[in-house]
Amino acid sequence: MLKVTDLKKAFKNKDGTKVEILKKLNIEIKKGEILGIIGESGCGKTTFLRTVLRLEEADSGSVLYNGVDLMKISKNEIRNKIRRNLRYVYQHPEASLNPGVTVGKSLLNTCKLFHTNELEKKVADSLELVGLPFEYKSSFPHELSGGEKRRAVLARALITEPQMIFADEPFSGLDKILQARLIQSFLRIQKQRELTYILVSHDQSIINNISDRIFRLQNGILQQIKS
Amino acid sequence: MSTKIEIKDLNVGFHSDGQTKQVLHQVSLIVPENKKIGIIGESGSGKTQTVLSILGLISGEPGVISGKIKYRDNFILDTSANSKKQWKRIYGEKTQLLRGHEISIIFQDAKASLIPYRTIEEQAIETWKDLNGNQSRLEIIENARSLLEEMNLSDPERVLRSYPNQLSGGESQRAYIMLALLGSPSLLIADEPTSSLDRENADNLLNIIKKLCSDKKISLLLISHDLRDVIEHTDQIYVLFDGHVLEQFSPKNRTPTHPYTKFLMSMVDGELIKELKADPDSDNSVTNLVQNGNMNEKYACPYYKFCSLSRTLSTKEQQKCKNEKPSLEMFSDNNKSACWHDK
Amino acid sequence: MKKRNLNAKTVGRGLFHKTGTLALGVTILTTLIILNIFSHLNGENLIKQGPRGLPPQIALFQILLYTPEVSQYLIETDEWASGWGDSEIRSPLDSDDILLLKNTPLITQQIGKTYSFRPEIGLQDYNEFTLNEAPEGMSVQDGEITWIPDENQVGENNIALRLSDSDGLEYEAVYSVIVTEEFFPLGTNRRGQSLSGLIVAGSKWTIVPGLIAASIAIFIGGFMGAVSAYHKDQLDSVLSYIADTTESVPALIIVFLIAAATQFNVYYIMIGVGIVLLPSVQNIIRSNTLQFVENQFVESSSEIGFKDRIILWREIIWYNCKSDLISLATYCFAFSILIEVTISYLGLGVQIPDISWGVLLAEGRSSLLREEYWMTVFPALAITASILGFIFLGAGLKQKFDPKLK
Repeated sequence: MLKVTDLKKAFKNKDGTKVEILKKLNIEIKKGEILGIIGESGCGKTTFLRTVLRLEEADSGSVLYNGVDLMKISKNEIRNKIRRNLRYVYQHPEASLNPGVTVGKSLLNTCKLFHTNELEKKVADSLELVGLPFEYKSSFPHELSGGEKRRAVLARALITEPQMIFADEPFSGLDKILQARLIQSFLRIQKQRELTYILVSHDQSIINNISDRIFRLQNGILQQIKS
Repeated sequence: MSTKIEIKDLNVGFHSDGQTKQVLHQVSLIVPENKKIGIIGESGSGKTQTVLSILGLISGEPGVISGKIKYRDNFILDTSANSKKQWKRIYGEKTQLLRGHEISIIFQDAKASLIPYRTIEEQAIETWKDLNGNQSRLEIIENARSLLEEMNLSDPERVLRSYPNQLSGGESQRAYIMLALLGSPSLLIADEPTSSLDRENADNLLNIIKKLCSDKKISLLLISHDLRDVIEHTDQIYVLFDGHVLEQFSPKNRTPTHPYTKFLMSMVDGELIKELKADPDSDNSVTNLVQNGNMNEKYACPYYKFCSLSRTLSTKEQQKCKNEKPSLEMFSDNNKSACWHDK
Repeated sequence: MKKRNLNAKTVGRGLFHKTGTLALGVTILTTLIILNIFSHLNGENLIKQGPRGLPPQIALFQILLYTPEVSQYLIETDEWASGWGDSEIRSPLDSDDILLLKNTPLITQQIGKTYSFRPEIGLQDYNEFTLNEAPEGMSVQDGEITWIPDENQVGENNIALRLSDSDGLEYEAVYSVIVTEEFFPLGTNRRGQSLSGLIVAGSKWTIVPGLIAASIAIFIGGFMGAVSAYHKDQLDSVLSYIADTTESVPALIIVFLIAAATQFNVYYIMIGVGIVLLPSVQNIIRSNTLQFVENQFVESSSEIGFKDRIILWREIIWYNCKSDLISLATYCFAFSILIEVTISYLGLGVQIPDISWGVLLAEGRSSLLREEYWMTVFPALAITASILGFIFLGAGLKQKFDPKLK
């Protein structure tokens, strides 16, 4: 479904030296699978996700999604056609939720971009899907707890009815009961909507047990480890 | 048996918005001499407040509501004796004497806790001066150096002469621990020291701490939210949830039985997640999005709302959970669990 | 009974309580708008003419703001007087030696309205006073003077009270009452114009000038700030530089220059005020926007699929900066009033015979020496109330629209 070939990205240090974060990275992601990515902090897991989704520009390489190379198409095309299908869930919900807007309005605005009918129903459905009470529609982000913010961000990712979700540390920083609930939500939604997940996490016990395949990002490339 | 710290029936609470929120309910805890005790709990469990109560650093009104704390068989807090004003005063005075001298504490981020504009040497001298003022500079530096050496640092002299930002992560951790142990405390409290570390580094750090405490006969109180920290490295574990002690067990000779502890274990070893992956729609797991009972109601057992065990019980048994608060029942060997139905 | 904790904190909190400030602000604004409408529609016709320098006819104000002159005399019979002519010698008495009237009488009244005065005599053991000289229709009953002036008595009317004490000495207290045809609640100025009419007429400078300045500052400044923060590149440095330069020039200098160049055209001056206020708006909007740009908010909004334009203007500015813009706008109005008053006072703004509150202050200045306070006090109160009104309005609206304060 998604094929990454020879992805390269380097960063420039303050003193001008180049650091290659991704060196000729290759991976093929299958439809409907949960792909776990682990690696040391700072090794480039986040960069990998963001480059694939063109939230950052790669130096070279190709990312084929349903036959289209995401690296080659224009930003406009990405915005109109790709974003709705390949969603990114940020690690820190504080930066993704608009503090001046209620959760419901945020969902509605997102939904409006890609759908025209039954908008209110879609908003209600997405709230239910992530386990947020309907009343939260009129709450502002600062009124929500950490776990609830995570769910709101997830609802916003799901409302565009995507095919793939790239999630960056979606379970970290939550207490165990909340984590377990969120994991269950993730798995239920995947079953219901036939989604493909790419999960980045440092939590071994979660990644080991939730993923269909596990890859480690080390030295700029992805290597599969066990299964 | 002599004890280092004994907390009995401690209740702590704070006023907010016209209501009093109680953060510790009848918490009892014993740190015996030369033993390593762990407190496991998540955010909101009350573990920080427990630590602060030993140090006398609880701020807010009313703070300590009732309870007793003993340090080495001497009461530093006893709300049943004397008037409120008196026990508060005694509490404040006694804990001030102990803080930094006999009871030392290390927190989470070593680098952030070191003074950035002083070398390690200078910090050692300043710390010791605050505590004692008797020893000479050379003696202090020698103490510091030998402590660093005991922690397997190959060139302690260089570390001593460096500023914190010049040290690696591991070096600054050791420096931080050294400063805490400089005054030869008899109790070391480690409050979530491994929070930002991965498993390997966490184990390394805890091993260092354990070794030092064993060698110097220092009792250790280790607080963490990660079960793996305390299972490997402590003699006895207290499980805190929402200000209550739910279970107390020795990891070496007993598997925990309280549903909450069992849940934590199953998350750590991934069993629960395996179950969820196999059948996400299963209703029997603790994670069911529908809680037991009413979200806003308070039930006698603090864990009832989240408890998967209760879902397998009869209505009559569930009533007991809802209405009667389970006490810490003793099994044997000092193991206790606060649950009606896990025996 | 619950004891309310009354200290500075709670009183302060109460003062800026959401509903309270908003209500106050809205009330004052509505009053100003109504006055503005009157002023624009009727213009100078509102201003009633009357006697010059008349103190306020509202009794309370008159007592507070004016001490009338009461002449006191000692009356002695002239033994050497001839049969005709004055047989009395009147010697003026200093009020330091003796105070015949302890309270002050009202010295102005409208025709058809009752004038009453109960004098408190400052002598011991006095006999009842009589009216030696009084306008027609004035009577004394039980120590109280009453009178209803009619249209023939418009103008100055002298009143003389004669008293005698137990020693047989005779005194006289004299003052005059001015009768008017119209009602002058706040008195008149040196030219006889009703101060209340003047204040209504002058109110036309409270809204429209502010509108000009606020529009320029908010729309242009806001635009510049938002754009420079969002597209943080060369444009940002240039715009910030311009903002810093504009800010460093004192506001009044710019205002004086425009005043001189445009022959004191207040509307052009207000454009200048808008330019003066622009950098503040620009900086605030810029820093607000930067907060969003610098964390990952902009990127995550693009990730959803929003266009850049929508992210800046709707997501950041409209949803989040609305409250700041509103309170900045009201501040612009308040500032404009202040500037107009200042320049008109200095003679560099609204020119006589046009009326503004600043002009009134200038005219009233010399009258202060004559203790004719009302010519200054009432315009000053109006100015203060208007400025405060906008400030309260701003504070109240900001509370209402700021999502974080909910």
